[in-house]
Amino acid sequence: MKTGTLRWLLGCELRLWWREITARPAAKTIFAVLGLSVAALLVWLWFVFAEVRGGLSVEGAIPEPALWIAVVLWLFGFFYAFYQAIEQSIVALFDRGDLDLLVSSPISTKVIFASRLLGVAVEVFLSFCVVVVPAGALAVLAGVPRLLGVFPALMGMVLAAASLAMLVTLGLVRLLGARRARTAAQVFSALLAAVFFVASQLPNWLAGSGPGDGVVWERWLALFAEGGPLGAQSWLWTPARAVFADPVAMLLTLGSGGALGWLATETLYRAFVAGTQQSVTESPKRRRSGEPRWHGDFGRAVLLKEWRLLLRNPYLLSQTFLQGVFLIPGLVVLLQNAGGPLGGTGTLAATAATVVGSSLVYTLTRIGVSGEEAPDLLRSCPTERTKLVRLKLLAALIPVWVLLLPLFGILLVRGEPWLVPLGVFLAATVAAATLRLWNSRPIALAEIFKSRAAGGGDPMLGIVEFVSLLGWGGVSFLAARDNWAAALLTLGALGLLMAAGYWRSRQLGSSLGF
Amino acid sequence: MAIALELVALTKRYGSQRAVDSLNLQIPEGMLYALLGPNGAGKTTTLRMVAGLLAPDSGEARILGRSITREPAAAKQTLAYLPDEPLLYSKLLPMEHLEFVCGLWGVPASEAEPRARELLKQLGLWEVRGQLIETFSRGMKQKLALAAAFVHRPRVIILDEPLTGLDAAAARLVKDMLGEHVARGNTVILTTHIMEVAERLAQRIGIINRGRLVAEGTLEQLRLRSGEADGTLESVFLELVDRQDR
Repeated sequence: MKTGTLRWLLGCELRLWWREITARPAAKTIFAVLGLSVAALLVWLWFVFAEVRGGLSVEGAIPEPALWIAVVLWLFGFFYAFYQAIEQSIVALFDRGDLDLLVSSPISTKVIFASRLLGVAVEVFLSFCVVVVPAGALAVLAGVPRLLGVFPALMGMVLAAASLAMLVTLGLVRLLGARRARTAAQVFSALLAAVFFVASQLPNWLAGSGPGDGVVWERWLALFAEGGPLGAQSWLWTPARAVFADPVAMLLTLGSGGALGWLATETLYRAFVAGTQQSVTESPKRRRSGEPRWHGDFGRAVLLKEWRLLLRNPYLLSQTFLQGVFLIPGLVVLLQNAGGPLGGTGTLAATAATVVGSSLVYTLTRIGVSGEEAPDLLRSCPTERTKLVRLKLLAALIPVWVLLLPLFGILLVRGEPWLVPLGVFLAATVAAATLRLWNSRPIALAEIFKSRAAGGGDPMLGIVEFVSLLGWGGVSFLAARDNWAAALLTLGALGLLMAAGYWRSRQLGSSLGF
Repeated sequence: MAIALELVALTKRYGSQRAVDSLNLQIPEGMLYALLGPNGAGKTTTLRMVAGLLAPDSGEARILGRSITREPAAAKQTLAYLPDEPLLYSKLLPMEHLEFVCGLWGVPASEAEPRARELLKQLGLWEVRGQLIETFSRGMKQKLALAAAFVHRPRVIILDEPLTGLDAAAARLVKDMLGEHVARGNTVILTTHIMEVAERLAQRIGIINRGRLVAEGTLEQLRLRSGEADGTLESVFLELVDRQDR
């Protein structure tokens, strides 16, 4: 292959990507789990398509139910592709560290940008292929070859997603500067995931049991009915029709994806090079007061240091608190579907506070303990390690308590039971912090939300942590419903679980960096 | 004169390899001591054991008579350690970092704050006190790490390659600071690959190779030992290491 061409550069990009993937710890296990998940998904798809398979095997109009399934899958796919592409764009622009070399070489900057853009698109495409290739094979075997249209539809989709992602990332560079754009893009991608997750829960809520919910749901459905603005014939669903090998839709999807890619290259490659240079040379414009109030006292110095590090890292902060966004809708649905009288808002608030609070404490402890940036400094200081660790745990617990304790105040004002739920909440958060401490392994702060495998710790303790989180939620729920026997039984089981966690942590020994 | 650092049969193994092999050494208080050795000789491992970052397999390190393994808090109270790659808190301001370090060593605020200001000014970091550490260059980070080592007035400072990343003016400044610290009766122990630094600053020099102390003494004593009466420290060092390798 001729060196210095777009094809050659793209090949290099993909080789690097593949090596990154296969170099991960436990790559084989991850691939095995992935394979099993794909197989399970295919079985599920087989049943999903069972009703419409007959209609698909003949040429002609696409059955409406099949189109809606494709629309939902396409929307999921596009959001995921866009999210992935933003993450990959951040890596391509800021993390790879080879752009100085490339830009200083005789290769045209347009080719470099195009290779990055196509690299992002191909990487996302290949990650989809894990599901799409077996699904395509299944479609052929099942006698519905028109589902092979999924490949061109996917190509168009990832090209569009990668172009938009590059546009967003470079737009942020232009607006905020390279240094802040990186954080903003990370926060944006996290928000995007949260928005999509919440949106995916809307049907559950709209169809819920509230007095006005049914009406809203009916209105919502009317939009998608035949003749409605978002009906099956709407041009908006062209990419979904491409999935069924509709020639015009395929052409349009591929064409618009390609056109977006071309447009992005033509308009963004200069901004890309400028952004790259900025990321190397930019000096921060914002200056802070360099003379903070000096506290001196050891305890306050440690707590302040932990909180300052967290508050000045919007990426960590957003990732941590977005967990609440992911957990709360799930809990609402879970409690809605539990059936029967649930004890009202009090039960929901206490259970949600316990589970979300424990989860937040878990992440904050991970950031403070595993993500310690100067372990050598802490190890070489004369302070007792236990005292330091205790303060680090407090630094994780206090913000969560401050954030969620008002909920129990509301329960008190409303005359609902609050004391026992409060006790359970406090115990659950302390247990979460302790278990996380026992299972902490050093990890770079920048990697903390990227690679669970590297800093995730012992899998057995990981299971203990997860079961404990659910268990405390269960205790809170059962206590709020006055099911004391079951609550006490669960509490006993949690005690045993903590003992097992302690035993396991002693067996493994401490691997903290300080 | 009191002994600032005493190593007694200090040993550390990594698997079957002995990184530090029964090292015995005494460094009197009030001097600048240079520990030299080729790459992988065991210098950093030795210093990390002295600072309490690594547990020795056997033997002991005593700082001003206090064992780092048996009385770690008392030993560390008098000690500062600066690793070759200083790790700092990227999202803190320089003063905040020094405040944290003073908190760890229990220095009262009334004493620590003026000291931190003075050090930042002395090291040319006062102008950038409003910037987060993550925006600092390698040299600026090294200077801040040095300030953190000096801020709690340790009696013994251990520095692993302290001049890495510093420009000529900053290196000169640091050498002066080390000299002043020693002049006040404190002890500085450093490793360096820059022989000129050891030759000009150190009162005594130790040469370590394959985890063992090859030679130790003043420059004159080392010259005699190597048989290079008029040799530079570089030629003396190369001769002594080469002799052991043979």
